[in-house]
Amino acid sequence: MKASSAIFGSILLFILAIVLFIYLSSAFCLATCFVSIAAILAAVFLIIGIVNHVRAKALSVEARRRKNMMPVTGSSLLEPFHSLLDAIIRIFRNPRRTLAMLSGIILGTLIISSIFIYTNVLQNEMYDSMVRGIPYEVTFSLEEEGNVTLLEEYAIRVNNDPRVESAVVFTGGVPGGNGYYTKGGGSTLWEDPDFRLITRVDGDTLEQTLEKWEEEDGVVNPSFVDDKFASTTIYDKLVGDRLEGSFDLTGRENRTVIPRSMALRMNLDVGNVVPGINITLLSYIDFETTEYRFQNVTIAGIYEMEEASWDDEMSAETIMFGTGMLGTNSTLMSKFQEYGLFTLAVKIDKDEFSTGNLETMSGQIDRLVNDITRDSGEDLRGSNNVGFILGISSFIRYAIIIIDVVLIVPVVVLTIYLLIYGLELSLEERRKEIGILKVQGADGKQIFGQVLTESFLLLFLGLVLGYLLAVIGAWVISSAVGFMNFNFSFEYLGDFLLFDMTAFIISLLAIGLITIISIRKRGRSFIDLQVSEAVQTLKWNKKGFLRRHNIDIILLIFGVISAAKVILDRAFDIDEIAGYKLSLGSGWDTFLFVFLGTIALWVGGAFSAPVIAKWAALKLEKVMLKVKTFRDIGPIIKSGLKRRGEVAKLVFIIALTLSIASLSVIQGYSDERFSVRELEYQIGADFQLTFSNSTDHTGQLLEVDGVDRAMPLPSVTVEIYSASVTLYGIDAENAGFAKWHENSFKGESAESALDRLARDDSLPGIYLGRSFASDIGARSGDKLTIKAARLDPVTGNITTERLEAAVLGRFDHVPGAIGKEAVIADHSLVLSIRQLMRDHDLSVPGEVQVMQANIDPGRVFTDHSLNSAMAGMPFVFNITADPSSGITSVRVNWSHGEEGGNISLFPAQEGWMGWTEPGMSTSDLTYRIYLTDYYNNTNSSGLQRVDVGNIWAPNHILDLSPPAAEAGSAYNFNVSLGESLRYGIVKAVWSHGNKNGEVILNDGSVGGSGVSGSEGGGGSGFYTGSITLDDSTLPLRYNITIDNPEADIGSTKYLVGASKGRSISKTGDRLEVVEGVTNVADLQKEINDIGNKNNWGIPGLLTMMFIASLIAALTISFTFSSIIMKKRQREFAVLQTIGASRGQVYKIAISENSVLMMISVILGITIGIGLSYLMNGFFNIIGELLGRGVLDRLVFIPWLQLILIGAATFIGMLLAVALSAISAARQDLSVSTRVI
Amino acid sequence: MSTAKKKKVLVRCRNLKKYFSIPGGGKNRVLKGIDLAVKMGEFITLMGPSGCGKSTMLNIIGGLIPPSSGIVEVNGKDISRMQHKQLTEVRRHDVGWIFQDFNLISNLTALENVMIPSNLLGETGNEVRVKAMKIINRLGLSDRIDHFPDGLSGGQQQRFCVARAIMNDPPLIVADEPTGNLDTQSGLEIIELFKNLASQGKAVLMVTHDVNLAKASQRIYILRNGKLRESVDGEV
Repeated sequence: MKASSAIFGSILLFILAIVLFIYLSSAFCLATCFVSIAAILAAVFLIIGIVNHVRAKALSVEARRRKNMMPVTGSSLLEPFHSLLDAIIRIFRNPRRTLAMLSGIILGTLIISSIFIYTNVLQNEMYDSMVRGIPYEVTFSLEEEGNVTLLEEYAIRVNNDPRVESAVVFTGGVPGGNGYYTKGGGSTLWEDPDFRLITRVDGDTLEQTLEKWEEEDGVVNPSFVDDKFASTTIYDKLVGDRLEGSFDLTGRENRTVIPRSMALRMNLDVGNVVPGINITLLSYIDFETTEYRFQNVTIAGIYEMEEASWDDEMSAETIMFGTGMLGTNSTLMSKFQEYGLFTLAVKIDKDEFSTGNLETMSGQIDRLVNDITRDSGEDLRGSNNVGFILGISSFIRYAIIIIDVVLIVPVVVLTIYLLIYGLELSLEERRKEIGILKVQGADGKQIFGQVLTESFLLLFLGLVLGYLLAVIGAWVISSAVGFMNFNFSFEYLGDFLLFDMTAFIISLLAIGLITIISIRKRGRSFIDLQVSEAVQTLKWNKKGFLRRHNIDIILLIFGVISAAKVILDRAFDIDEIAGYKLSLGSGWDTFLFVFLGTIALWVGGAFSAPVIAKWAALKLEKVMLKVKTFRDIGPIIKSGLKRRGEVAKLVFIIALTLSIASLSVIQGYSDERFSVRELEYQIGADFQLTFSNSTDHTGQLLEVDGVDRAMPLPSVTVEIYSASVTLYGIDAENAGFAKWHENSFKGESAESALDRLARDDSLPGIYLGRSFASDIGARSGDKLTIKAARLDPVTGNITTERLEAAVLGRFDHVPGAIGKEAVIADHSLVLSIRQLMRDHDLSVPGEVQVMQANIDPGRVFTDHSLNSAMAGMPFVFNITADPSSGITSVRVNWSHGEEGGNISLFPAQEGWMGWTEPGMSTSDLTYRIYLTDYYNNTNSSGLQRVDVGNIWAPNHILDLSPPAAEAGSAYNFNVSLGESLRYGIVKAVWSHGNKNGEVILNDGSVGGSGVSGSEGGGGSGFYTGSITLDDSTLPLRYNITIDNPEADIGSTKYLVGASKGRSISKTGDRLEVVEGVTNVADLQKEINDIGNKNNWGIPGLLTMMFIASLIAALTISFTFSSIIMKKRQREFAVLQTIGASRGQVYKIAISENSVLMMISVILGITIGIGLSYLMNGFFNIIGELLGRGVLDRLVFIPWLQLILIGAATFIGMLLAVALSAISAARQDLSVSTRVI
Repeated sequence: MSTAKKKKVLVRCRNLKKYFSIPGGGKNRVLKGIDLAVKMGEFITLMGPSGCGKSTMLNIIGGLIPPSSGIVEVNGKDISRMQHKQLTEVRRHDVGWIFQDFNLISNLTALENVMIPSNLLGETGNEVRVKAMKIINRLGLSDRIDHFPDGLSGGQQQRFCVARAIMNDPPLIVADEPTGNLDTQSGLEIIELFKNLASQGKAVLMVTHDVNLAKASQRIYILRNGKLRESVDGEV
């Protein structure tokens, strides 16, 4: 009964201590809590020390000699406290067994807690980094039409809410928004737009602006802010200290602050005065366009826009004006009011929100939105901009949880072993004490009570210390920017000091259960045995279930087959042997080989490792024992090996540990290589340059100091069978400098593939991207017809040009971001195709009626509508009339293909306007204009014909030049080119009266010099040029022509190789300033940047697995060696007594273990390699889920690191054995050989 | 007596002292100046109350622990100041140890256990086996050679222990309560063995509490209060 009450008391005290710890840690800072606990422990130990000292004085010498053998004492209600005190004393007096058990508990808690702390902090960090990117979390707009004053009043009220940090009213556009607006909805990120706001600078036409809208590039979002804006935290976030100049937008003076990117594009500096800035508001509700112009605007400041971390493309450039510039009665202001384009942006005070939990915080923000909406009498409508981040964050979190579960299971298994061995050693250490207690009459229950009390105390201590170490461990792991590559930042340490209840409770449950179950199972049986029996009977080599039924071997064989299949496929590209396919279909392959195979290899490998190691050791030792050095101890080792069950257990642990460590190292290394390979693929060489035009820049680049090679990457869109595909040209003879990979081509080296491409065979060779080859079912050796579409610009007929090519093979990826959906060929083939597409007179004739400078008063109206339209795009009818004609309404009756209709034009600034949107048919659009005057007289135009083209057609020239011109004025040629025609020089050759000439048309999107904007789909394809007409009213005749220069292999994309021995960064700087260059991607710089990026946890988790497994390996080795040596202490003493030297004892201990250890290390690494291949698909999927990688993740085996790890583990284990052996060899022989 | 005088003195202790430090200070003086001489062919028993230092004295003579002071000579070698390596040599060639609980190595067969002392000298192969088998045959244990210690009776284990002790043919056999874990019959058999060994010229030094067994030896020494005296007329 006494023993039971002591056990009950211990459990009660343990629970109390845990509850107190959780309370203190949650209520106060974790550090304070630890300091308090340390102080309490120190006080307890001091008291115990004093009590102990007093007690020791009172005891006789004989009693003192028995101080380790105190029986359970005490009675009544105080008994648990007596037991506890006694337990604390025993813990102090037996440091070795205390450490043995404590190390297991601490390490177990450390590993489990750090996993959870790390994962939780990682999630919060991810969330925080995303939320940090948002300048304001909430936006409100007026539910009904209203003026800005009303919203400003609400802004003041909202600002008074303690949950709000700052509130700002934006008029017009919203900084950080994307230029889309919905009526009453403010800047809503995902909704369809009702309006577009756009800022046009002088020189841009509406058409160009329309193009920009479609391109999502160059849209400049105008936002008007009041005087208070610059003093808010929203300003800090949007502009902050990233401003050059000043943010002085007060008063009515025309001043603006523009983003840096816009300033660079337009070559503007602070203090410059822009002649005019136009703000255009286009309504998609009624297609009304409102335009307002600010004259002579001074650039007051230039600011760097902060990257929006959730999606860079969602955030448009914002140009800021002061609300004073708008006035209250301007057209723009009245339109803003009409459409309600005022937005109240609110930044929350994070201290008032649960930032540690995304879901909770988002809910709290929803509450804020609804509170403010309710308080406004539902005048306001708000939206929570944080909400959508939830989705992204949750997704990433689930991915990490999957990684956790998969990777952590084996680490937890190791933890269990650590604990069990720690406990075992602790029991072994107290063998003598248990014997003595039994001799003194203590029964098993009493002794168990002692052990349990001590265990609870150590469990509590271990949990608290383990958690503290886990906090530091998790911070260290979080600092991993690559595998075993750390970038420590004390800035984040604070995040880890917050008490993580989940981590602690899970560790408590897991470690507590393992400890209690182990103590119950092993401790009871150990104690219940007679001491002398305990020496003989407690065997480790009891066969487990798997071993008894040979399931371990069966699993291993299956695992090895699975690994072999995957390795053959992945590493050697072998998918059939002797005509037999190795695949059962992708679904079965994944389930059977990858999923089940991984489990089988891991479980089977670890469990059968002892059998294999023992068998191999017996064979190896036979050889070893023939060596003279081992002859003297040979028979001892040889016979001992047959019964060496204990060491076999160590083999299991080491094989498991090393398999985890190897998997971590291989996948960690592969991960790093993956990131580098990805960049090599994307950039393709030392540098990748993007030019604004696609002429041949090779010569220009080779002149740059530090440039060794330069190669354009031209492309054309062609068809093979019915599939449209981009064909890229590689300068095969000179492309060796690019960053080719060993798996760039399937089953062929890059050198060989380039050689074959460069070969001048009768049929040009092409390599097909893997996916494309699969789509069209093509194989090596096939002859394919490449079809290039060519539109005859004179007749309008589309013809298909054909060219034969031979398939040389398949590729996986090609430097320069050429993926598996594309086709590559030598430059010469691209040239041939281009020539096929252009070898006709590519010209479009045009004729323009030229009117007198003063419009003939006899003419009632003029049709300014374009004579070309784009399928699927709005076509604008634009009619002006003589004001004296008294026209009151204008109607258009139109027809296009199968469609048609009547529309009434609405009065616009200088006439009547209206829209229709022709469908995708390329039939002509025809229309008649009907005019009605005040007297109801009607007049109509003749049938007007508009050429409808398809801008997306590959080979299409669309003349968008105005149909009429004014004598003595400027006339603009406007042409839009289909994708495949965007090359060469576009010219308008014209004649008018006595004059003629030619003008080079510029690419509207980049302001280039008469050459195309981009290769294969990039750029706008919109070209413009201007001439000034004289006073002749004769028609202006012109031809739009596209030059077809010989051997033009130009491209906008270039791969550049740096000269050896030259500074890469300096060469990069020089390339930045090459004329026409719009972007320089520097491979080395990007690779270096990998180290500064958070890779979403995979490197951190792998690093943690690696460190945890190595610590576990060494700890288990030491603990296990100690157990074995402790058990064999007597044997070694006897051996020494009968003549063994200390050297022979060391030799026995080391040689008995070394062969087994060596084999276990090799087995562990081999299993790890197999697992790396089997689990590679899993890592690949996780990488893809986390938005990483286009390339297949390849397994790279870092042999040197693996050898080092194997050697380090082996040496560590030998050291552990050696240290234990030294202790055993130096024991007191007279004591060890005697009976207790 | 004249024959005994001619025999070589195998063990000689002069003013042998052994102290143990007590935790908390002080010394426990176990042996307070022992003088002893054991000649070849002598079978001597050491007796005394528990904790008087019998085993300590045996451990010193057997080369397991060093004395605090005094001289101990075994087979003409002063082992009292010897280093560990030299003591190992003494234990290999000059002393054969027999323990109360046999201390056979459980992972090895009986034969392998017997062969160990020779193996440790670097001797392997058939010669060692033949030598071990000769000894085992003499002890009548040839049918038990492949048994592991767990499968042998206490008497059999102790006889194998004797076989192991004499494997390297040492002149001195030290036995610390060799019959403590044996029944009377087995104990008598072991004592017979010791007598045989003594008759073959070996010196046997045995510690025991059993007066009847002690009487089988040639001389009995009593250790009390750290002093050694020879028992006269079987007085113990």
